[in-house]
Amino acid sequence: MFKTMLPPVRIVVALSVATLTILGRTEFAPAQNYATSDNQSGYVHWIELRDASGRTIAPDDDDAPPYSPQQTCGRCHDFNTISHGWHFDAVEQSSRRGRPGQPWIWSDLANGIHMPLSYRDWQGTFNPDKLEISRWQMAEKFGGFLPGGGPGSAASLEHRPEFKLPTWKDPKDDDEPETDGEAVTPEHFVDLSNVTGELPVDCMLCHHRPGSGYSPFAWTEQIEDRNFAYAPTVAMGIGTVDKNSLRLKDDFDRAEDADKLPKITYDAQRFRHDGMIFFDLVRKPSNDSCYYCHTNISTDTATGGRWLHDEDVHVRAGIACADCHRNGLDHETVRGFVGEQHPSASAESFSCQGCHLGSDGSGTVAGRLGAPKPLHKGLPPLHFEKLSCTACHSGKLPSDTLPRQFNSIAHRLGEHVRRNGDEAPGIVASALLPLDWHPPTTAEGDHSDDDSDVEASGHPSAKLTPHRMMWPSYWGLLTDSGIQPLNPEQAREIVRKGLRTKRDFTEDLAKVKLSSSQKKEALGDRYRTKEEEWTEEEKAKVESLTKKLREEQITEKMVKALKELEEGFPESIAVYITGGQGFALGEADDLRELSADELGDAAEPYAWPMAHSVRPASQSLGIGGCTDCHRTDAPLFATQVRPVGLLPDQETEAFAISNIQGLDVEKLSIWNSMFDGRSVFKIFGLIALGLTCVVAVSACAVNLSSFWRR
Amino acid sequence: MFMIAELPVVDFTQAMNAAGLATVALLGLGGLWVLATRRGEHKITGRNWLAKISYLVFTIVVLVLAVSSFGAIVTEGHMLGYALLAHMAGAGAFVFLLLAIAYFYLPRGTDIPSDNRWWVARWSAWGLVVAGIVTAGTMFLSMLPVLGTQDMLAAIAVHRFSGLLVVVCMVFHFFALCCVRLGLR
Repeated sequence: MFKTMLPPVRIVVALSVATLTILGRTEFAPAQNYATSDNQSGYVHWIELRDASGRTIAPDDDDAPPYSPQQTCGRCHDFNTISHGWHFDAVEQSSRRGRPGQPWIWSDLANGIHMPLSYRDWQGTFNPDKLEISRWQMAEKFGGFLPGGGPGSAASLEHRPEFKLPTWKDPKDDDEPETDGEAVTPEHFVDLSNVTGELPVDCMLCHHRPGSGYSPFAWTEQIEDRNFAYAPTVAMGIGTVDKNSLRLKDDFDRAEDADKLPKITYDAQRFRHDGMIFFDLVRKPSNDSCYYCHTNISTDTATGGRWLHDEDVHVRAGIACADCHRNGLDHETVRGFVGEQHPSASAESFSCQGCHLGSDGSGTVAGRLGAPKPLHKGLPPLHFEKLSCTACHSGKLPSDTLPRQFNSIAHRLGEHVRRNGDEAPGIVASALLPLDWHPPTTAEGDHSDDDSDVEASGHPSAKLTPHRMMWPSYWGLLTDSGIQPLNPEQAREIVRKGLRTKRDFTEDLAKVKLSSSQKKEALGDRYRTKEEEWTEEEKAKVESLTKKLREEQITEKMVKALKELEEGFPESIAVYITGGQGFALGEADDLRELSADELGDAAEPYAWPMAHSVRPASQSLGIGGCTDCHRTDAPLFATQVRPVGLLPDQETEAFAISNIQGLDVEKLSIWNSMFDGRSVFKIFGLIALGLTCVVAVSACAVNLSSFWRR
Repeated sequence: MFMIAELPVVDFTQAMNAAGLATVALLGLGGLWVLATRRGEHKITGRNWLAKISYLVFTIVVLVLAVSSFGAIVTEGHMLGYALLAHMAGAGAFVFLLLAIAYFYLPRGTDIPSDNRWWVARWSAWGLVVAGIVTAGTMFLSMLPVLGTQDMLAAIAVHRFSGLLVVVCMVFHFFALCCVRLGLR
């Protein structure tokens, strides 16, 4: 029939059919650009390794380049889509901000700097761009615990912030820098991407099969050695690298000095005769892959009590992290809380409520993954308006104080070292705070400018939820507009000369070794006596002297560091913030504590909600009855919070958590006191109610009998 | 076991408004009717002092409970804070006073003629006690680890409606007592 039509008609018909076909595909069946196996048994990956330019790698080539996951995996998987998911998109303007989460903590152990950072502008964190930390510096510092990309992606590395921080001027240098009218890149803004290249995305960091030989810590080590491009190869164990890139100078030229680059030696035995190599991977990341970056563990558990530690009840039941925190090809990982804004409408069904109670929003019914439906017998429903699920079911049971926790990224868990539990940064948990908790005031220019799209504002904000907390420690300047934190690298360069702390700020500041003359001053003629032979009185004398010297040493070093800062910033007052307090130079060359007005909210802690580990129902808060929480000294409200400061002997002020829970403490106290003797009331009340029934029934009987008698 | 969750959904605020209007209207009409048809019965001096005090305190407690609950619902939309505190405190007294009210004021076949001689007084006393038992009973049930969340929500709904009934019955009982004691009925 088509052939019998006139040519112009044929053309119109053909174009119409083609248009409809294209529209139909677009609307009803999105085109699949990549083939898929779709077998639940998975696909066995015998594939060719490819380098960054897409060429196949020959393992016996002496100059074989490192393999590129983008080119190797990207041939069959939509790399562009994947590399903009939740774990990669923090630096992107269009990324989800989400409710506050685990920050990247910029730690400089020796110089007392621990700053919570986030590009997502979570209130209480510092934006690295505003601190003039380069994307490359972020990639180098945190790339070891990132799956690659993100701040280290090629597009991100090109980003240059506006340089607005006050410029430090070396007082010994009289020369003015030549600017030629152009913005000068400050020295603290370091970008060595010419040496390292971009931070590659390593799919295997998450998708390796446990026991396959892939080592996440090898990945971390390679990033720290600035061997960015080599990290995927070495981490997978298919090759070794002969040197690191740390020694390459800033002016390194890849074209001219290519021979100085590290060299890869592939393990030829891992390759098949046709050059294919086996990628031992899993579609759904294993828990161990998640744990590498997301381990949060009590310090007491890590320092000897591991055998007493119970896993999350879901993990014990066989549920993997990725069963709830799942994602599609876009790698927009579900974070799993009520009110989450997610490209998929069904994300909410993976929250506690979604699985256990069902979700009206996504239309899912309760019982997903076999989740039992909780009855909460005897629990007044008002509690669901006041408490999140995790308040009663997650983390450690509230206790008198907030214990400290280690975190993979902040404390470099994975590295084989001795830990005593006091390592900075001091993160404490579980602090039961309202979900949208933030300090009462907000620093100028910080993160309060556009709260309209803050995800947290979209859901019940007053629910108490367990949080992790940390108090920032940093060097800054007190100006008319408040405290301006300094770039941590810049601060390090300036204060280290005064501090002379080499390894650990707190330990090194506190370290005092008595000289012979000092011992003699304390002990007299017995100053040569061995320590074990000292009397109690002598021990006390030595201790007293040590304490005095320590205080002098701390003051001396801190004063020196602050003076160094003030010499470089002559218009400002140099300050050091730690443990919720601020310190500046006093009039008598000593340290003075900043007043609350001077401090503003510069020392306020950053808190972010946590959800794991989930305890079984039989260990939930409230299982012991109302008085688990409703009594005067119940930890839910009375837990003592003591800011973690870094100065030795720093006396931070502890306070009851109810002071920052946004609750009316007086009302709370009256309310809790009403639960005293509640059991007795229940008994007598029930007796009274029973007697009332008896009276009513008897009156009824009397009336009925007199009615019948009539 | 306690599947009382499947109750008809009625907007409580609407029901409360309707009950309030109906009570005021009935009270006004009833007052006019009583005045128009006064019977000149003999006045009653009243019951013993314990009954009188119980009734006075019970009236105050019901007033506190009504204001702290319905007042809070009208003004705030829900019960929270000091309103809830006052309600909790009043509820404790309510349970024990209800026993006294049932004992002293429920009509028995033998105590006619008395201040129960008018049918409004008799039936409002019954309404007061029965609704009071349901109100206190649902509260106690909620305090025991027997009801799940859905059942507890239903119990709270029952508590609200029966509490509303207590207030309405209390108003009519008070009205009836006044009429009887003044010799109008």
